[in-house]
Amino acid sequence: MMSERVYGQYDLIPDELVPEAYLEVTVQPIDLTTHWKRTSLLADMMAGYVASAFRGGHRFRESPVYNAVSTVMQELVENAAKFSRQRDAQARLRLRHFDRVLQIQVQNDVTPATAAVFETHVKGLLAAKDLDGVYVKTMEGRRLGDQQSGIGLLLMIKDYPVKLAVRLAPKSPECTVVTVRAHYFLEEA
Amino acid sequence: MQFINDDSSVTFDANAATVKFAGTLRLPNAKAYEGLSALLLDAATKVTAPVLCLDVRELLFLNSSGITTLSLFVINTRNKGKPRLKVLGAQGVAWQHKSLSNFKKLWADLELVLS
Repeated sequence: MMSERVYGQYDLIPDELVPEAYLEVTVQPIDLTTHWKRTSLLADMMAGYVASAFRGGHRFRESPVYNAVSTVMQELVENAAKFSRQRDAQARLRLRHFDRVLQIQVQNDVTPATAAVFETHVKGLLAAKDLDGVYVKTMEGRRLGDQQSGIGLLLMIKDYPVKLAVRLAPKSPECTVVTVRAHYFLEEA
Repeated sequence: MQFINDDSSVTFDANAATVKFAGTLRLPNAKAYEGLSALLLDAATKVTAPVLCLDVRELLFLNSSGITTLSLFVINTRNKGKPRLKVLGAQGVAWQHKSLSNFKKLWADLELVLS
């Protein structure tokens, strides 16, 4: 069994630091794949939890932070839904809000094979010097039939003020716990 | 010509040479977006004006699978050489002002208007 691997600034915010706001939700990925609309409901709910602190009433849904955080959250929730290991597995979504930084964390269990593919993808993204070039190359590759290269994480770190970090922790020979942390630096609310 | 689901609608208006998007598009994968791809390719084939407009101003959310779908349409149209593409976006919608400019990286001649 391989040892734990960490990529990016995983401990950018110490775990013991008390946030201004905290939200944690545990779901079964199978619930999301069965009823895909739930991915959007979760993303919107968690974004609203943050955005309502900046703009009250019903207008928080019109704020840039709501749209942006929901978009980032959606990509992470979709990944957990698509790549979790077992039908009865759980995915843990966590949001910690510190002034102008949000720590969005999604944790789920995957097979070692899935973990290996994801690890290669993340290492490539974090090492890339030209993310626009990666986007263009990925899209041109998709045109030629490459179905493997998703752009969710790429767009997140390329287009949004997000620092991505990932931890892969083997739990057993059949299971690796993947924790993705997106540190979102709030610009405009 | 329309692509409609519970949360969104995409309509091609041939007279206005415009494909208008509205709502939220967060379908799970490329296969789920095949209907939208077909609509876009059909619009590009049937439009008689030199420019086809993609009006996404009322599209509040689009996930990465949707951005991939639009990106591939941009590449396909670029390779055919016509029609030219114009994308209308809203500056106030975060995903639009952050991600729509990606299409210009695929086709520099694409016109992007954020209002």
